[in-house]
Amino acid sequence: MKEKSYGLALSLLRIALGLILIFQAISIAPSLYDFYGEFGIMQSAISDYLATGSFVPSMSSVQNTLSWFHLHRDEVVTLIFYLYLIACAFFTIGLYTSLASVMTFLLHLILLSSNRASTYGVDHYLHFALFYYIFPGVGRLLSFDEGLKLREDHKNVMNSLVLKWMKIHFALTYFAAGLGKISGEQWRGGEAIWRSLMLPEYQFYDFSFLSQYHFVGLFLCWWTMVIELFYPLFMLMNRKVALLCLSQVILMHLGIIVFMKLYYFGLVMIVLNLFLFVLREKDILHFMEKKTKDPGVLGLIARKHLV
Amino acid sequence: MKKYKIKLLSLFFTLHLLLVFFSMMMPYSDKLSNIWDSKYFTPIRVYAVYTGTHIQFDFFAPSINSSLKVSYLVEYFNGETELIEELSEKSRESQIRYENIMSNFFEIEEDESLRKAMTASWAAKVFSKRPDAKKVKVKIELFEIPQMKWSDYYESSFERKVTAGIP
Repeated sequence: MKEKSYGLALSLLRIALGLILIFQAISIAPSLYDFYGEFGIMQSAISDYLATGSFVPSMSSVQNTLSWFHLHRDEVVTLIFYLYLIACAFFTIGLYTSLASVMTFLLHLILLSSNRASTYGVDHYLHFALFYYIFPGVGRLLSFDEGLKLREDHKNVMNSLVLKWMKIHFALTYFAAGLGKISGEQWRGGEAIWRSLMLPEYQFYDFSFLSQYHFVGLFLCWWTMVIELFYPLFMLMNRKVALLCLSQVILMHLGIIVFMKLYYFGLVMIVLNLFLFVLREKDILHFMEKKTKDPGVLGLIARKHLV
Repeated sequence: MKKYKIKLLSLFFTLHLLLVFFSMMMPYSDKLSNIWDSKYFTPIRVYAVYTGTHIQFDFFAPSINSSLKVSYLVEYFNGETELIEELSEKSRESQIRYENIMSNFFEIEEDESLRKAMTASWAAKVFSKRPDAKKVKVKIELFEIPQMKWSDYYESSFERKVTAGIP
């Protein structure tokens, strides 16, 4: 592949993910020591026992590394958390973007591994995305480092390569989700959606009536499984089919936000779908050309470089 | 970028995605799980954990687990008792994480010492917030579907040994 790209979609995705990371961190800040502190809801000894392996950096390993400073566990938690917030802010606005990307990735890994029991889908999808930003030159536009102008030298092969592999990886995650569901009797039998909506932690609306209309649950379960299982295939088909599938996927994630109140998970999935598949670089450039009148910013330069 | 660098990068990403696929297929093959657990696979396992390629992304599958609810029955030194259902106010995001921690209780069903340690950890949190508490009973209930009712699942009691000046 010799195709070069500005990485505009990846740059917009960087900003969106950065903002999500910051808001998510702020929303768990009041419970920070409950999750990561020495005497938290999962004491550090138990978290370490449940960790994936001693080779992964965690709050405990950072504390051991900094043993000369005699820091208390909670002080290490505070230090890591503030460093993480700063890294996320730099990553979002694109200041020292390369360093900020690596730091955000590593600090996110530390938070992930320090209390694995508390993590869920959103953390894994965020980590999946952050990994691809550690490669040089990926999604570095619309930043303090590069400004708002597009230059010919901003185009690089790395952006095209990473976008392509990120898309494949992301599509595979849907396939895996679909495969997991279809192997379960509750999903095949149409019971799973009803069950998940009836669980106390997700019961914000009364869906008990669904038990009388089994076909609704059955349809929703199979609709979900078909979308997820064939997601990679749909993305390979023509644009209309891909967009139809993407509209269904986004609808599904909106449903997760509204009915299950998994705000960050739903938002991350929608943002990833939008910037990896829906919005292509040439669409963004077209949009900018139409909307931007200011000659100093993206629009005019985009017009100049429009392909 | 030079051609050989692009080729090397493409090879790297291909191997990376092969590992992603390998991890995703692990729940369906004992052979793959055995390979994953073997000592020869350790460097790849390290890479996978760092990069997140070990995640199977099979959320809410193959089945939907029942819910667990934790409550604390506190007995104070003065003889009074209190039932606590929420330790503190939480944002929705923190609430989800609390529930995830609780749901780990299913996964460690065969490890009684770990279950005891986890409940001790929760009880310690209550003791730390209530210095006049003498005894904490951690009560875990299971939400049964389709009966739609809570039933007793696990119980464990802890008593404060050091009274910190309280007679």
